[in-house]
Amino acid sequence: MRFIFCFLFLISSCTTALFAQQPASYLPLKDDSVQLALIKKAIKDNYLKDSTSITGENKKYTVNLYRERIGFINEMFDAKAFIYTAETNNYLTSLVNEIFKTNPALKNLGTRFLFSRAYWPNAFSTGEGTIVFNIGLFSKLDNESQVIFVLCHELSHLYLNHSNKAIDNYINTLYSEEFQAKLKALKKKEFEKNRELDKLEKGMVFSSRRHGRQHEAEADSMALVFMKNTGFDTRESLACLGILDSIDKDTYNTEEGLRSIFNAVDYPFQSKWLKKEQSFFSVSADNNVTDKEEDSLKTHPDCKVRIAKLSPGIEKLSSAAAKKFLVDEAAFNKLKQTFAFEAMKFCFDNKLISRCLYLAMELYKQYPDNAYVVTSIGKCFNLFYENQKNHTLNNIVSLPSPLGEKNYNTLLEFIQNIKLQDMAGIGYFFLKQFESRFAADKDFAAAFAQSKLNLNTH
Amino acid sequence: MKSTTVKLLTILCLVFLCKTNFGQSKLSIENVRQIYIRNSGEIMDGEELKGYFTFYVSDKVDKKTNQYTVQILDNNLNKVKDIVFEDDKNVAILEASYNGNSIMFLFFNDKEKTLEYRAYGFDGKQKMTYTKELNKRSRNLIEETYGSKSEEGSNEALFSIGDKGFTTVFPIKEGKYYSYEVNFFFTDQRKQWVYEAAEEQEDKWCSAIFLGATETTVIFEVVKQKRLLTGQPHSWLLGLDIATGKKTFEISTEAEDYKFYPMNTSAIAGSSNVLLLGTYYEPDGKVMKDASLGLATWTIDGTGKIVSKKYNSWENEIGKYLSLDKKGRVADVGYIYFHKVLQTSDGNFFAIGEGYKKVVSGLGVAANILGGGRSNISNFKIKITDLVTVQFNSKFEVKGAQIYDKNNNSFELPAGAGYLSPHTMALMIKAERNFDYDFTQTNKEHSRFSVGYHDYERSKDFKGQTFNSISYDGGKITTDRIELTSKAKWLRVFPAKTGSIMIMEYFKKDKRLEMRIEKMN
Repeated sequence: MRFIFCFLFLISSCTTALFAQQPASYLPLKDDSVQLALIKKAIKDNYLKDSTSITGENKKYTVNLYRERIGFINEMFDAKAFIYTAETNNYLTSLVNEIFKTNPALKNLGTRFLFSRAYWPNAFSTGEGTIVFNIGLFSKLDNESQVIFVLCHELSHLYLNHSNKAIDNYINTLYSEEFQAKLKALKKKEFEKNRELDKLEKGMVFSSRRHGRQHEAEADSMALVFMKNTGFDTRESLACLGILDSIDKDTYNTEEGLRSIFNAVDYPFQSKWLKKEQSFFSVSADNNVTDKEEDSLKTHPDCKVRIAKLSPGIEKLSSAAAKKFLVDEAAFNKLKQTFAFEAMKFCFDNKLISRCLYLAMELYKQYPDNAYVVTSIGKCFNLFYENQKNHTLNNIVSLPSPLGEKNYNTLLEFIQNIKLQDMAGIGYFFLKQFESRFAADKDFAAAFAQSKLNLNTH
Repeated sequence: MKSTTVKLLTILCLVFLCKTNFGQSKLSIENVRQIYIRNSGEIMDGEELKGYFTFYVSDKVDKKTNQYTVQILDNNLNKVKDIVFEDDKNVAILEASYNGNSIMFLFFNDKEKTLEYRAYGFDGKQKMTYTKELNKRSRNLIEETYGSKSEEGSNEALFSIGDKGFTTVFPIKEGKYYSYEVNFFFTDQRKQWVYEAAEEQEDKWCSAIFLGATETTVIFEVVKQKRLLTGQPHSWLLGLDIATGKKTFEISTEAEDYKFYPMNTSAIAGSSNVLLLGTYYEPDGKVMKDASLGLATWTIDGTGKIVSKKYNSWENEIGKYLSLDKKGRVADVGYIYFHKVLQTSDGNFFAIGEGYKKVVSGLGVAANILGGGRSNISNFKIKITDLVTVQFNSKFEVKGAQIYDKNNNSFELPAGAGYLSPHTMALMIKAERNFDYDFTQTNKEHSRFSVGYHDYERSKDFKGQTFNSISYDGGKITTDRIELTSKAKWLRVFPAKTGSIMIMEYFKKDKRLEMRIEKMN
């Protein structure tokens, strides 16, 4: 069971951000490993303390879920998902301090705030004090007020103890005498056992999701209460929810991107690389779920519903003096830029190469002269080649899916359509265009040499 | 060496049996839930693999009835649909086929002796159903049809016919006659027809194999035999009108210059004519005994009239590219058994064969000496040799031939089988699944194809099983090889979308089954 409570939305393309400067390259963030180790230890200590404080006959089941929770956080540490640099930490701390200084009730929650390198737009409170802000969400927001709303929302979950209440509710339902008696009776039943079990499970899931949606609504309302005490603009909460409402709309034109980026004179683009796979029964996977049930299964209320709930009182909670930026607008914009690069790098480091190429192509549209982006694209094709040669390509790329994002799917179909020699050819001739311009860049030179070797080997 | 590609059905049943429940002091929902995987397989659209199905018992409703779920995965292993229904507890799915707007399953009820065809639409709702009751002998024939001889990635009895519907052909026993029945189901209308060959059958034994279809006609190769054991088989070509099920033509393929045994059919673009491909024999030759003379192609029109014929003999036309001896054997390769003949969209033809030869068996000789000639092993064994492809141009003139080396493997013959004809030996090897050839995959347009076969290598660099492919795309032939090594308890290779394979690995310790698609180079 994963505890991702807030803002869980699928990735979509980046909105076009305008920056004063076009970076020529990118120097990846270097984490402060000492600080991260200290945070990891603090989380573990907290888990041990929480675990020993649990009492009651269902203690072991609750501890199991706490263990899963810390396991999930540890997996993120192992994947080097968390960012900790002086720059990112100072900025995040400054934002949080703006909340804390006017909301003293939040100061003693034992909170830790971390940026995660995950590319998908999400933020979550794990329930034991850690609040994680994915850079995939940060780079979609327009100002600090929207960031503050997200942070206040997550702090509200923690303040209202939603995560631990959800665990208690789950454990106390599943392991109650009544529920256990039903399960024991079902275990002995010869016929219609699974049908009855489905009913029982659906009832439990619906109840849990209903509570979840209530928790989200509570967290939204509470967030505004905390936010209004700050100098940030509470009206931006509605704008933030508006962004989230359309965040899963896939806007990058992949086909156009592929046709223009990989159309070298010596290795021109071939239309057959874009051949669509004919979808097969291209409908939703779970046809047993009715529309009514589908609504009941949602973990979050729709953003439009959330906006409608918050809108009536928003003016009362707003102040004319409120500002969209209070801490550092320049730092905010710089981090947005940095995070776009960092998300791409994180995908590469974690062998999510098709996603890495997708993010790199989006960045290439904004920064066509950036050596880091160009090199990353070349490195993706080098890895495609190496893995295809070893028949492990599909360990590093996703397969096309009729249920996935349309434009990302176009890229996945492209990867399935190109052959081994194309992987070598496209990569080499793409990098070759930049040979003289980026000759001094060591990473570029290494990627280019590898692509040349791939082409010559083939 | 046995094939590494085995039926999905077997694998998933094994996986199910490996599942165990762990005892706990309190129950969880998953401890109580019980599901039983019954079988699984590929979903074909003609020659193209479109996905996979897993058929499982999702609940027991009463003593006679189960609730079933058919889970459908597309060719990228995405779960796209669950179809849930109740049915008799004895049903299994024999085959599945897809025609662009419907998916049809062929259900077999072993106890009730029924075959049921059931089609579902995009919404997962049942569109039509038809049940055929079988007598006991017909049931036995059905079971034989779905035995070990079927090739992975191809259906035996259920075939999609474009957007029109599906046709099925299966053997039946009517009185003393062994016969067959053809059904056609229209998916856009609740209509069907049946062609029962037994109604006008004179020979004791008749069987039909689906060859292909044009816009108006479904075509079958029919083999007839006067007497079951002693009679000579004769080949016929049967055309049935798609709209009515009436016989359009039935012509002998032995009445011309040679006896012709078609293996494949191919529509000719811009024409209603049909191209047939296969092997040919002397006019008085014994097909079950003699080696074929070569490869032939016939073109017939919509009435079954032969428009053109072309014969390429092993000795002359093909022999120029593969040196053959007087017995029709290729040096070092031996006799060739052709698994597949197909035409590509650029007009070329490819015949894919595999070599085999009879050699003295050290084991058999020793066993017979020690046993005083009473051993159940023959003094001879069969050595399975190399893969062979022969390429023809659009006029069916030989353009080239290629031998693909692989390591030989042996197949011990039972006592008395050492003097069988080459053709009979080939049929025996195929029935026992001892050929290394696994499957040929092609797309709907026939613009490319891939031949898959397995091998066992013993080199200093690698010792173990490999999966190999010969691929044709854009006029170029490429080969590829995968070393089948894994940390898994076992690894198997299955057909996938054209140009790819599906690798399934089972990790015993984690009780985890992993499936992945990999492109061949």
